[in-house]
Amino acid sequence: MKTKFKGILTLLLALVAQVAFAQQTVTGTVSDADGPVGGATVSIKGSNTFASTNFDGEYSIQANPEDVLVFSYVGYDAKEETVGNRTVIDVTLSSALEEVVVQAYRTSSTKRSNIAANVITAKQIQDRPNASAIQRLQGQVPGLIIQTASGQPGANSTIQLRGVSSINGNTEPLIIIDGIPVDEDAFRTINPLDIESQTVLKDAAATAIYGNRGANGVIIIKTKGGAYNQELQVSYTGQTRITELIDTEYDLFNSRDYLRLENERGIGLGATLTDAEINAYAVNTDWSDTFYRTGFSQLHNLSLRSGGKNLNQFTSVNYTYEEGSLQASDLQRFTVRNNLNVKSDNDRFNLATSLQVGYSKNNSQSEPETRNNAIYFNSIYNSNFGLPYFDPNNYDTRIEEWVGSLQARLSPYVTLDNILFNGNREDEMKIIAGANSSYKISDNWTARYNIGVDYRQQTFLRYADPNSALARVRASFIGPGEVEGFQTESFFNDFRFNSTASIGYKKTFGANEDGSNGHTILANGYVEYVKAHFKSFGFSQTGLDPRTFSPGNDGGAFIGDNEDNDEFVPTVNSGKGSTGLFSYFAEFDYDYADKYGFGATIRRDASSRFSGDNKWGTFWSVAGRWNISEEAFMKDVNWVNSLKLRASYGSVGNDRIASTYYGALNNTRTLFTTGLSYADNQTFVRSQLGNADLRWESVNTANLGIDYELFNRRLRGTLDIYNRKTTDLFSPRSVSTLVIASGTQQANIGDLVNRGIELGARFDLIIPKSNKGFDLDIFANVSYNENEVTSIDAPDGIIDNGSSVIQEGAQLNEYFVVPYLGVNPANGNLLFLDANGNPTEAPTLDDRRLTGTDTVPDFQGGFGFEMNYNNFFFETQFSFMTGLQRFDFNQRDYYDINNLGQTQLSSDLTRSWTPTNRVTDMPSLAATNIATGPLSDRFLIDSDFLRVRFMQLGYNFDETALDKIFLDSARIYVNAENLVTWTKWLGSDPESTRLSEYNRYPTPRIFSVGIDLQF
Amino acid sequence: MRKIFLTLGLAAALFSCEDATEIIQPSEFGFDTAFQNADDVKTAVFGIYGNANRTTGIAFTSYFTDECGLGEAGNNGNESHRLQLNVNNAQASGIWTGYNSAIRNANIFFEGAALVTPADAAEQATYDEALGEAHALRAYAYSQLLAYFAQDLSDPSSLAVPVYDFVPGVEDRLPRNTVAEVVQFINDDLDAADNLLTQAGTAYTVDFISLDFVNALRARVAAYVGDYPRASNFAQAVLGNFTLPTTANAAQFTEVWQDINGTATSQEVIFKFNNTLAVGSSMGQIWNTNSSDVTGSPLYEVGRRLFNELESNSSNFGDIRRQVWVDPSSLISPDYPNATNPREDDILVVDKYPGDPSLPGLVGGYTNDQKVFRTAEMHFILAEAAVENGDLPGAAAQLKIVRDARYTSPQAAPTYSSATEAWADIMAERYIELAFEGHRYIDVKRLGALANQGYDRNDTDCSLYPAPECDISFNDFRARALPVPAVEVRGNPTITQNDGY
Repeated sequence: MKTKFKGILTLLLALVAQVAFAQQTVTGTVSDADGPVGGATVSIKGSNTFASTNFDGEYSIQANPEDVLVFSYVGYDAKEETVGNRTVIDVTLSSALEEVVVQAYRTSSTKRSNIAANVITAKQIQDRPNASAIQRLQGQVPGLIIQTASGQPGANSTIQLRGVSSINGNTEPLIIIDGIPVDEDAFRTINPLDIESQTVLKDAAATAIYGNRGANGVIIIKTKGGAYNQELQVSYTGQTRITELIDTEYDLFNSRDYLRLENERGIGLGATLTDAEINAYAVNTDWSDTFYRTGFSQLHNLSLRSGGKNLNQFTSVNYTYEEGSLQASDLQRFTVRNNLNVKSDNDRFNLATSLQVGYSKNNSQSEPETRNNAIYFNSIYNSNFGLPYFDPNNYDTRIEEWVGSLQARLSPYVTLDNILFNGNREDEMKIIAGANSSYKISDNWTARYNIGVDYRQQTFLRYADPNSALARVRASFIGPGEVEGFQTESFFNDFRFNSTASIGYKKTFGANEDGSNGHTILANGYVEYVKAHFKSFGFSQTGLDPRTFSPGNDGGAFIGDNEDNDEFVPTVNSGKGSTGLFSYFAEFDYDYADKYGFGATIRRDASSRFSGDNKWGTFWSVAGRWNISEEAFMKDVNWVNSLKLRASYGSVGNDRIASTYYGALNNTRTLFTTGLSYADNQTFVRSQLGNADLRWESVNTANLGIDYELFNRRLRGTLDIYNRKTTDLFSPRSVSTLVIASGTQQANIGDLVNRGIELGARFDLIIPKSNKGFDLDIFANVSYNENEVTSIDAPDGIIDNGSSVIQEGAQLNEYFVVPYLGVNPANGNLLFLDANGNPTEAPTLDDRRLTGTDTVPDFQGGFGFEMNYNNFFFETQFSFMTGLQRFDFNQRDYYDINNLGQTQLSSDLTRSWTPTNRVTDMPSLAATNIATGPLSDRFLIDSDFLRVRFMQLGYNFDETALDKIFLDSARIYVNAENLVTWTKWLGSDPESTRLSEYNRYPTPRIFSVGIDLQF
Repeated sequence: MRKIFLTLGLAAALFSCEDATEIIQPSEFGFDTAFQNADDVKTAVFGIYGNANRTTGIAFTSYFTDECGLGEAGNNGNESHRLQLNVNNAQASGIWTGYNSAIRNANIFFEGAALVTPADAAEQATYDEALGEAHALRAYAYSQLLAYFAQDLSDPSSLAVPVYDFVPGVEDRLPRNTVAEVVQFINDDLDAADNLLTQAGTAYTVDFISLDFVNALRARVAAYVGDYPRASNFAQAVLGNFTLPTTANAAQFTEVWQDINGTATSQEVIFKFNNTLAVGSSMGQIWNTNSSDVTGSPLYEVGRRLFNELESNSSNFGDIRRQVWVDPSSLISPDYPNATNPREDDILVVDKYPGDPSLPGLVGGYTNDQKVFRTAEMHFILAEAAVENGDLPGAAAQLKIVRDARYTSPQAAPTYSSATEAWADIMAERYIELAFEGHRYIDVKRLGALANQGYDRNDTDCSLYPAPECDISFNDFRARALPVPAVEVRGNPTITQNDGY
């Protein structure tokens, strides 16, 4: 040893001596299996000289022939190259084979990972125009379904992994940012450009350690960090984008045809006009032109990374302004993030802290879900259903007409008035702060402590200006000369704290001299504490003085209570709640020579939501792997670079009975509530019938998977098959309304099985012959999932939700409707199929039957290609879903003659049944059985789709040109999102998890241009 | 290293297991703490009043029968008005679940009250009164369910609604009991109420349960099922305490509807639910968006048929109900059948609930007490009993009492040549007198066949909505009973549905 050391020293001295002589410029490209790696660090070993790669992975550094260049990048093993006489050194960083797999509370190399996980790196989702970090994942991960059901900027998405494992409980994965569990619905205030990688954990081996919260999978988000010994690197991204409504395909009336129909039926304006007047009627309005717009948005992002010997940092600042396609909807966001890593000189102590502070302002025009069909509040309703013969330019006179008469058909003018006067604003501040520390006690023992806080504070403001039509109408009822208008403000904060302490042991023994063929064991023990509190309060003031009213302010505008009436007495509210979890868990992992591995986890959790014996749940997993490609007999199989077989089985639990984080906190107890009742007397009534039997919902998953890299790693991917059985499903069980007025109670009602297969593959179709040659990669991921309810704890094994059921042997929430046959040629009534297979005009609840369809896709996935040529790059990604159906209630209303004179209708009604037009698909306008009671499948529409989800074309500027303007690299690009969609669905957006679609804010089409600079 | 271990140890000690797992939410209030003493029992009974005080039946009756036509702001009407009555009907579901909430809460109340032993005589009186009120309110809730959901009120073995005197658990899926069983249960409850209120010495008040309420309900329920000897007995008992005025006085009569508790109310109203600004305030919005005048954006107006009868009564006999039922600001088309736009040219505003002038502001404008038992109804019950007895002049005499209180030009008692004629006249007078009080649907259901009357909407009213049906006969399945709502069938799949649904 001593001699060796001396030798090195001598060599070093020799190198130092030569430093002055032979400096040369070394250039090259750093790439991985997927292509160039931008942002990699190139340093000269033992010196302070650094360079970084640009977006094309290219670098340039001054070095001596004796220098050793160290190529490093987060998540990759560093690689060293001695310069020698080379001036060009291209390096391929150890690719996926040695990629670090983020695995629950620790990381592992790919070879030694037993789990089913997919990693999405920043490279795959950067520069996407979407404002939500989560929406960018759509179509990227086999088995992961992201459905966004609103076009509101920053809207929440529904995330589902491997089908719906719970009926009513939370079905969304646990999301962890830098070790801190965060609210899965609050992505509005997270900056997507801060994200380094997102890892989706899928099987029980991966998620069991999260026990109580991992039932629906786990998404681990790692934000960017600096590297030690890295020079300052500054990146700027700027984007401008436009957002527009995707048109619907309903065949709606033009104004003249609509007036003709009114005239014929003796209803509405048309009934008062002559044929000649109708033929000359000039106004023909598409109200969507009035309520939607082209939204302009912009984004600026600046980030800085640097690192010294013991400390590195990443700082980013982001500003985003996004206008929605709907009038008066927008999002403004400002975020700052700082990530710090600190280590001791001896590398034993490591500390990583992360802090994100985000502030966003969100204006929305559409009302909260429950009032989505309130005609005077929802401009989407009026965009869809405004009468074509009204002219938006007549707002001034029509709004006065409405104030006088309150006729509902004038509602488009009322929502126009709302846009001018009234508002709905939500401000959110989010702080995510955490610290992960570890201390290496000895070579084998490590102690760790993680602490994290997810804090969210929201203020809501809703107001009706006293000059608005709604306020003027209400004022006129109080009395002449009165003013009204209201302002509601509420405040909500949500504090979630978690802390995990652990101790770990790791040892390799029995290895050969070179470290191979050893046995490695790893064991960790953890204690976790989670506690969360929310607090809310608010007020609502009616009566605002128009002279001084300003939204969100009193300033003397609040009119005080007076003797005449109680109209101006403000109302107040206040609320709070808490929830908590306490867990201890352990994991064990064994590896032999990177060939065979075995892992196990066990976890005990107690939830505050359950009582008595049901409080604690035990969850566990076992997993094994076989790295087939490491075997001696595979040495000669050259086309196999890596092949791994893994299998796992285990259980995870869910305590979120009613889906939301603070929902159903005390449902085990029967409770009374106090309040004002008859004749203004205070009283108390039972408010909740407790269900003491509530217990953990658990999901047992068996998973078999293959990870492969073939043909010189040109073909890479994963294949997984799984069987997930959910037991003790949370669901509202139907009870008699004699028991509970609503007819439902939260309960554990039965078992459900999800089975599926997932395939992900990427193929380097054309490998570039030179650095800037033609490069084409194709990729695809497809997953198939089917589900079956295997048992239901209800009479007849069925829970009847009206138009869907949860029934043994059926799909979860399978549609349960009366088949619609068409039009009875004899009388123009609707014909349905009754339970005995006979046509009927009067279907009953007993005539409903299963359709074999539900709202969850069977097949879903994405595919596309990436292309590089010269300085150009082009990428496209398609996404698709099949096997889902939803009710189109917009279509139903467009077909409902009962709405004549009130709302827009479909011109398909012109081919309605008449005695002279008996063979048609449209029932008679005088059909007596339009409203049948039990729903039929008449408006149950296939919502399968194929969509060009994302497309990007860009150009990297030449560095030689950039050098002159002090830039390391620069590129520009154009993007399109949701460019084209192929579907049978007639509305704007086939992509939603909702059972029915009715006047929702559709997701838009987005175009953007952007520029990325690095210096 | 020791520093780090110390920190780790301290951090772990900060959090105990129970702190995260034994959480009682703020303001939790359990059964055992709810019922402690007689005052708690009295406090709890107001909750049952609150459950029983519902106007869904009145709303349904106005929409579905021939009481109303569509108003200026009523658009194309709701499904009930378009006669599209099915298992998902909002009002039918509301009647079912609403009155069952009153029954369930009464049963919870009885269970809680049983835990309390009154300390002294004063507490005993408070306790007895509360129990008596709960029994009476439960009986009232059953009477409403019986009336709307019984397949056939005249058949004691026909199915009505489930009877339960316990707090049902989630496993309970109760079948419907027969009309006779429900009536028996109601009568038992009313007997219990009678005893308890007598013991407690409860004095009469118009807006709380009294012995007069109990007797009026006994009379009404007996009449519903054709038990006229009993009905007439109890109607007579009530009429011992309430006497209609012998001459018509519009100003006095208006006070009844303005909720002024003066002479007129004491003569006319046996019981009404007291509605305040804060509780039960939106009754007038069944018919009008806001105030009950032509600028209040009427949703449903006085039906043209009813208006024509009021108008003819008014010009022939000086019927004061014409000016009390119909708001004076109404826009009356002189030639409504030929009006180009009858919806906007002929606005007949329902003014039976004109707002309580003592209540301020917008909400006061549509807040009124719900009149449940009125003196006139007792006379109608006596008239029905007389016809049933073959005493046609006796029936006519009862109608004359009501008419004398309404006509400024008193008329001789009518003479009937047949029972059918007498039934028809009783129905016709009930149609006018009890309009907008939730009787018409039940009247057509139980008397329609006897009087040979169904709904007879004016053709102009029917032209205001696009659905094809206008009138339906008393023997149409929809006029005979409401559907057991789908929400009940879901949790109780074996319950028997009414005919036609």
